Amino acid sequence: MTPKSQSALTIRLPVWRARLLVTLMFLGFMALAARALYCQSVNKDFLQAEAEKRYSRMTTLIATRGLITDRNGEALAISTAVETVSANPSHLELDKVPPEKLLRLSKLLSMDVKVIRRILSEKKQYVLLKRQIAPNIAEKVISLEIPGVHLKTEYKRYYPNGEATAHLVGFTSREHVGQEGLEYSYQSTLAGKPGSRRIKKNNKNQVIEEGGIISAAENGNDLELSIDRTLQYMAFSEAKNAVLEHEAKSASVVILDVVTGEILAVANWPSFNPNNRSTFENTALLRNSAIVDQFEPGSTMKPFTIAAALEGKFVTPNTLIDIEDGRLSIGRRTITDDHPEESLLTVTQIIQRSSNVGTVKIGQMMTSQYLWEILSQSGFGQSPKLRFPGGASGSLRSPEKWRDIDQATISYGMGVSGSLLQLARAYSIFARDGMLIPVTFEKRIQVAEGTRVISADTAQAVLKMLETVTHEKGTGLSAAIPGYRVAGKTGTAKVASEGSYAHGKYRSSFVGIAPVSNPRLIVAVMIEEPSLGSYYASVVAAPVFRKVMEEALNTLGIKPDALVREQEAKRDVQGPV
Amino acid sequence: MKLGLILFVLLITSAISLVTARHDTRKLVTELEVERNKELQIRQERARLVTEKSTLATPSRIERLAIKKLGMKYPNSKDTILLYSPPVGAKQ
Repeated sequence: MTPKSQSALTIRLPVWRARLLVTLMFLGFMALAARALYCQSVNKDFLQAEAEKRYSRMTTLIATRGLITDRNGEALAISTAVETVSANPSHLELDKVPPEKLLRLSKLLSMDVKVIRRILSEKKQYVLLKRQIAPNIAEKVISLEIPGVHLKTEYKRYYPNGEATAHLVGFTSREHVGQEGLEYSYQSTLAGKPGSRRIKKNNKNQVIEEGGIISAAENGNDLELSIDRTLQYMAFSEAKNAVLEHEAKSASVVILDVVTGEILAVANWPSFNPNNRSTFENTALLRNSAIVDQFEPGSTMKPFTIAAALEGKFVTPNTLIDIEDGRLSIGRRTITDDHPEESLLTVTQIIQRSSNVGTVKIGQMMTSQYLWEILSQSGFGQSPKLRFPGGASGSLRSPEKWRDIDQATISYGMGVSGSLLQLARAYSIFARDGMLIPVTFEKRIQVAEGTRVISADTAQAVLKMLETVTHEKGTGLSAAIPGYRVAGKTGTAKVASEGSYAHGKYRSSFVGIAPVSNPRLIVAVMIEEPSLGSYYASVVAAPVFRKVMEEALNTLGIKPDALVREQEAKRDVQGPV
Repeated sequence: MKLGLILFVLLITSAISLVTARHDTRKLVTELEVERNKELQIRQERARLVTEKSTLATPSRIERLAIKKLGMKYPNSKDTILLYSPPVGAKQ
């Protein structure tokens, strides 16, 4: 450039051009500054959140469902981890995976190699390979290091005792929500609350920074039941055996601890397998009959009528009642006794031989209001106040509606209903000196406080009468247990269906208490529609009761209380030993 | 001048220690994560073992093994002898 041209330029350039440039540049910088200001202050939150999304994420903290154990800590329901194997085919080039690895994978998952190849060649982001495999197998799958193959931990509810505790424990949905039984009624206790936590991950998917726990995971609480696993299984087996032996429709067994009010066992047959969801379809099998179904107790109700009569001083145990020829007409109906031998029976003999006519005659001595009060206070027609879904209250009509025939039938247990568990509980008034005890599924060590229904004297008197049932001439002779004093009552009743009593369909039941000198257990047994041979409770239900009660007394180490007597009896025969 | 130098040295030290601290944090977080996973695994292992134990010890299995493998049977009342132990201090 020559000085001339330079000067020429200087001259030629107008001042406005330089100014314009400066202004434009200034404006440009201003725009940048404004944008920076906008990003930094006004739009800051949005942009920071967007950035964080790129590297930080929320993860779920797993919470497990609580364990259900029996009274000795043995698991009845437990959540175990299982792994689901999935893959992302877009992250994996099937041709580059060594064939021996695929072969190993197919063996571990016990799937065909061809099937695996087909699944992995699908054009998807996510394919499922196999659900619910054991964690140790899952570990081997991961150690194959096939790119794109992932694991996901899930929990599965497992019931080690299977069908023996199925009705009692119930089961959960696939989403771990209780559906039946105690799993349902204790859902709030057992359920865990999953938490969440923020983390920062690098491009290798490793956690590099903790963002803190948003909400901590809360594992569900464990539930310790009053149930004894050994007794539960024994009760279940006996119910099952009884159904098979008598070709019955169903059977239920309840074992109660008289002192604490704990339910030691509740078992029914038929049952279902809680570990196999396909067995849930037959909903009839899911019912816990011993708690949910109500039935007419029949003769097992008689002790309550007698207790009411003794309490009201209408009779004493030795009052003679004329049962005539074992037939009694009320209106158009006739009440009969099965095997009348004598026409004059004491109140004790009426219980021992289970006389319908005798019981009705005693029942007629009282007002309907009075009999209703005793039955109602014994829990009939009352809510069982039990944390179990669908627990039956039974029905007991109010006394104003009783006709003469109603009072007669109710006094021997027809036209009134309750569950087997209710009936077992009602017998606590004889075992606990007149007190009705609350029953529970939760482990409880202290003595249960009851509410008084009858006086201790009346309760003792009825208990003595019930003991004669298992003695010579009693209907429950086959319920007697060597070494123990046993009290109880048989019940044989026609099954009511659709408003009338079906012909040839019977229900055989037995409720008993042992040891009589210091009652510890109540066992109630019910066998529905035995179809093979006899249907009488003395032949069907009483032997089942004996087996269950004897086994329970032995298992719990309860001391025999009849030994002294037997020894004394022997001494009387053989002279001093 | 001297003050400036001191501040400069302090600045560099602080910067380096910040980097070290960050690095340490990340390392510790990774370790924590490993331990957490271990804890979870141990929990799952425990649940698995409890399950196995209760499955092996179910009364139905014990009954089956006792009867089939060991040839045992339930004692009936004829096999049972009940002994009467008199209370301590009682006259024989």
